[in-house]
Amino acid sequence: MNAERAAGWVRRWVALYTRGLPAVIQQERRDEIDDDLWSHMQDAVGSTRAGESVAGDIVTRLVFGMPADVSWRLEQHLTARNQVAPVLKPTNGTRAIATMAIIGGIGWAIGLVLQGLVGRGWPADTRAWLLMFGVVGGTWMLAGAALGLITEFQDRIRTRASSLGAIGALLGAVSVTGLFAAIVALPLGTAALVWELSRAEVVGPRLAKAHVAAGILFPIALAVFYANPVLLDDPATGVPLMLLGWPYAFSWMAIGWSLRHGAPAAATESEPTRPRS
Amino acid sequence: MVPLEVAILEASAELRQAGEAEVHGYRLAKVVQDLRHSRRLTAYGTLYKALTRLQRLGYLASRWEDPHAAAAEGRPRRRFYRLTLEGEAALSEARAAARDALKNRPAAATVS
Repeated sequence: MNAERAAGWVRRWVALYTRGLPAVIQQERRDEIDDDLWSHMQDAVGSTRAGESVAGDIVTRLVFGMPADVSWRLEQHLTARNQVAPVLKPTNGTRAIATMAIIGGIGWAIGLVLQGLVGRGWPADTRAWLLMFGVVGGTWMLAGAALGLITEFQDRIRTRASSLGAIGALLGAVSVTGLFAAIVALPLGTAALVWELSRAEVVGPRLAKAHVAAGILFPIALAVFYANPVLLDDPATGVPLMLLGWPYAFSWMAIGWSLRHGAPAAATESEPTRPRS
Repeated sequence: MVPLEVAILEASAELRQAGEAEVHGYRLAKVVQDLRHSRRLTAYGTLYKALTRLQRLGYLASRWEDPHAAAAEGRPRRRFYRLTLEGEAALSEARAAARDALKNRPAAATVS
């Protein structure tokens, strides 16, 4: 057996016992072991030791360390359970984003049902105001929330995701002025953005998955509508069609709700963490 | 502290005296091996669990190096550990305790 194969075993073991842990912890442990393996092998090259001897050393270190690995893993579980999430005090920005997300989500939920009831036309009675609040106001609020998230967490998210989110938000905001088909960009853009925010641990992974699924579902409803616009003329088909946008609206409300007390702080690695008293 | 943890602090202190204020896990494992006159390097799980605990106690601090620096050298990124003031104090206490234990050993043998 050569050293590379032994190192492969170690990496597989690390992947196994770190499975299910937060991504940051997983990555750190993997990187640390990777560096150890690399340094060990480089050291062996320097000392011209036989590959089999190094492989033996690696396997021995792996096997004898397994109980400690399992115990470390259990400790991580307990720490995660007992630890209070590092939460920032809500900034005015986060509070504003949370409010926009909640109001925008409510607006969309109302507006979509109303749109399903009134069909493709614009009502002449008081429902026009509700539609204005729901569809127009809601869309602008959601677009504002998305742009707010990009601004607030710009140092924690990658450029590609923030660009997609910004394009989606801007096209979504413009769509209500008459370019209706552009609304499709909003759910797709924010799906990319929220997924990235989940990676940055601002939004929980389940919420992000729900938002992404909802962000994909709504364009499907739009595609059905554009393929057969008369569906919206009958409330019996129009309302169910529009209800396909509800998960997206509710996922925004949930994001707003989760952000109302602020967002978890970015993880810092530099200083030692003291035991909780 | 268990003997391995004391040995890690010893290794960190020794390396710092030699001009290496910050060291990575494998380097520590090598020095610990020498200090303990051991045939084998400390196992991965044992070593990194001990390092985690020493950090939690505040005896060691760590930082991750810039990944670009590691990439430029064609190796994985490194976590560097350094001995803190608390770590130094804990090491001094451990040394003193070890000296006391050594001093008291003949007396204890006589009593038993």
